[in-house]
Amino acid sequence: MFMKGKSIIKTISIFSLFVATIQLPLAAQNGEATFKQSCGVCHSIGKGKLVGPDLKDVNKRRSEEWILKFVKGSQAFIKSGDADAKAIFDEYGGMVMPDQNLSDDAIKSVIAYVAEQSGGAVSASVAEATPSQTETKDTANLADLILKGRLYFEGNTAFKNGGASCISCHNVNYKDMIAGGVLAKDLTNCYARLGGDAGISGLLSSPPFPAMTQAFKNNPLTQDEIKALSAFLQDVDNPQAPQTAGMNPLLIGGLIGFMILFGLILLVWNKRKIRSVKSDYHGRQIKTIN
Amino acid sequence: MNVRSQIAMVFHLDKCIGCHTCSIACKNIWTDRKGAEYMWWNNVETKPGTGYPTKWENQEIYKGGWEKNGDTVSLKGTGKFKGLKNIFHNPYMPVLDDYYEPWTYKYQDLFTAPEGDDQPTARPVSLVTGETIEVKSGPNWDDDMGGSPDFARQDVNLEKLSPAEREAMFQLERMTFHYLPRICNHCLNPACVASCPSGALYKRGEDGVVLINQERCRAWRMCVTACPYKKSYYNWHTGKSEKCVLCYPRLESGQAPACFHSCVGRIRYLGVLLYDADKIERIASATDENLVEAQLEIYLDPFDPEVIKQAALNGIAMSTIEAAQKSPVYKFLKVWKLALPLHPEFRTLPNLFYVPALLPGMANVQNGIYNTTSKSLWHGIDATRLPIKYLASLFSAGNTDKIVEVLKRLMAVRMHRRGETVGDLSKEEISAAMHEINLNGKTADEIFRLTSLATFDERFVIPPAHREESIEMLENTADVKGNTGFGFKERPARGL
Repeated sequence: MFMKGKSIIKTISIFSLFVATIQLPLAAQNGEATFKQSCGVCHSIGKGKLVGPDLKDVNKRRSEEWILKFVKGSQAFIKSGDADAKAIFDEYGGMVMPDQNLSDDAIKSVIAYVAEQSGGAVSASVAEATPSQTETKDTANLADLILKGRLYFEGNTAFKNGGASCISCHNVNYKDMIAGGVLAKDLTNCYARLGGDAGISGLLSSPPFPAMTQAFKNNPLTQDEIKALSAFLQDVDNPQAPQTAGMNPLLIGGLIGFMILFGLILLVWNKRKIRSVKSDYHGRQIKTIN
Repeated sequence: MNVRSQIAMVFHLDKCIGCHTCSIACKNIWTDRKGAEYMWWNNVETKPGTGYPTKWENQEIYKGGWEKNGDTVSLKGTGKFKGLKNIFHNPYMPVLDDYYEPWTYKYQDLFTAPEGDDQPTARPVSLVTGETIEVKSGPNWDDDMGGSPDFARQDVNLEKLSPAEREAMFQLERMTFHYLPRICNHCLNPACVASCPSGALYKRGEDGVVLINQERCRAWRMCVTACPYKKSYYNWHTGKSEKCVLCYPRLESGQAPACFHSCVGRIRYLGVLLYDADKIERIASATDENLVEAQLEIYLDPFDPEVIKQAALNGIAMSTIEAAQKSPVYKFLKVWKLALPLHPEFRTLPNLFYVPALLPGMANVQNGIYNTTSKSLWHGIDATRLPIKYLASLFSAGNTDKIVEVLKRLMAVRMHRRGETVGDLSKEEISAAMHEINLNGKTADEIFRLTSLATFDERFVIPPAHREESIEMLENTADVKGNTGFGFKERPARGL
């Protein structure tokens, strides 16, 4: 009986070990796919910060329960009063991580994948994390690229696949460009915020934000377009670029037009009836109540 | 000739005692509703005075009525281009203060106030905001204020007078006033109808009553500006404009409008006039001094066989033509020439005519004796307390001859009746007065009778509306025979 029981435990443990060895690579495999699809745009594993933090060894830094809560609803989690979550949110300049519509199992598989990669990817060079610094740009082509990006941004050139131009939802403060939409975040400083070319191109090739995901689901941007936009956004973020908001001809023209219009109204309707015809004696009446 | 029928009216101002019964009758029936409290479709003004809404006669402020434009007329304040220019903001509209802010009192406070040292009072509350207000003015705030600086001296008609004449008018001995009841004139050339961008206003074919279709009104309020008499009002609660309907439901059942019916002084007369619609444009664009005469020309003789024939061709019922023959308005206006339109210079061809008041002559009191400035009390026409020019500004677009003529007629009738009843005037004096304006004794007696002794049916000759026939145009009345009438609300215990 005792022997039998021992053998059963042994059998179970062997079986579970077997299952585990099978399961782990399987989970890691699913985890890889999910990571690339949902996380990789903003997060790296051991390659430094992109939009969000480097996830290397995240399984060691945080409990599984913590990660699950953060991924599924970061804002709700922060509001619930978790100090660590708040600290991260503040560290990344209040950049909201979109809530991920993933099952617990899928998230666990991602954690498993991250754990597996954290071990092997130690050797990944840090320099690789900021490819924009290593990339050299031809200055002559750069001006062209920025202009192209601007035209895309403003919608003067349509995106090849018919996506909506950036300005319909976003604003940037850039030279004499007219103000853009206020539906989404201001992109003036996004180049630095999102981690340079890598962050921007990653974000644009598969946008993680729900509204943007929907908007570009069926009409993704091409690599050329992303490159141009990235160059443009870098130029926007350049503090040396002359900020001419005060001299905006549209604003000044609008003000002058406004004054001319009001002057005309005063002239054309100068005989209009402004006061009550009784105001003469109404004004002289003595008040009996305060 | 394009003969149409029109319900027209005469108000005899000599008989008006300024009791406002007409206004109250109208208010109780028509404008005792939310949003309509400030409206007085019928109001009584004191002249000289500023009226309601204040200074309504001044079209430099309100831009109402028509302007002569060559051989035709065009609207002063609105119209195609001007209307379009101001369609979203009409700058000449009266504001609520130009009328008055309607109010009631917190009567409940009189009953529910806690015991204290002072008497409880009912404070006025606005009917617009519901808040306690300081009452600044009302619809007849100038009532009986015949010499007041804020009302009488602000009268718009005084502008036609020289400063000396104006000053003389307000000397203590000369100070006077009379009343001017006003309702919608149901004009032949209504500016309100012409101004409406939605086509919501119309003039009824059968009797010329001007109405606002509440379904079609879209609150542009052009009619409020366009009506020079300011008799179209905007209901802020329903978002529609409203105006006097001449109590057409009462007219259709043979009753006089409420203000006519309730008139204590019996000053009001109502009857049918036949007119030639082809002449409207020409007459509306007549020169100022000819306006009154020209307007009389548009009304046709209901006894003329040619007129009767044309009227019948236009579908006017024989009963309406007969009513036109008995119309007291026709007598006052065309036969006796005693009635004049109010402000004909607005060129809307109003259908409400006034017999001007025969005001007392100038006089002064010395040592307790009343001295008239004229030879006798009966020769005061040229020295009336109100300058003829003032009356001419009200009733004849500045034509003083018209006023003098009417006043002389009125005076001749009085002298004739004085001769008949008291007999203290010499025959020569009376016949000279009668002869001057070609009046014979018989006509004078008729005028006297209709002025003083007339019955309801003589004062209000209302044509049958033939509703029994008009309903047959819409439905076959035989279809519903037996479906209405006497019945049971609950099934009886026995029977059936």
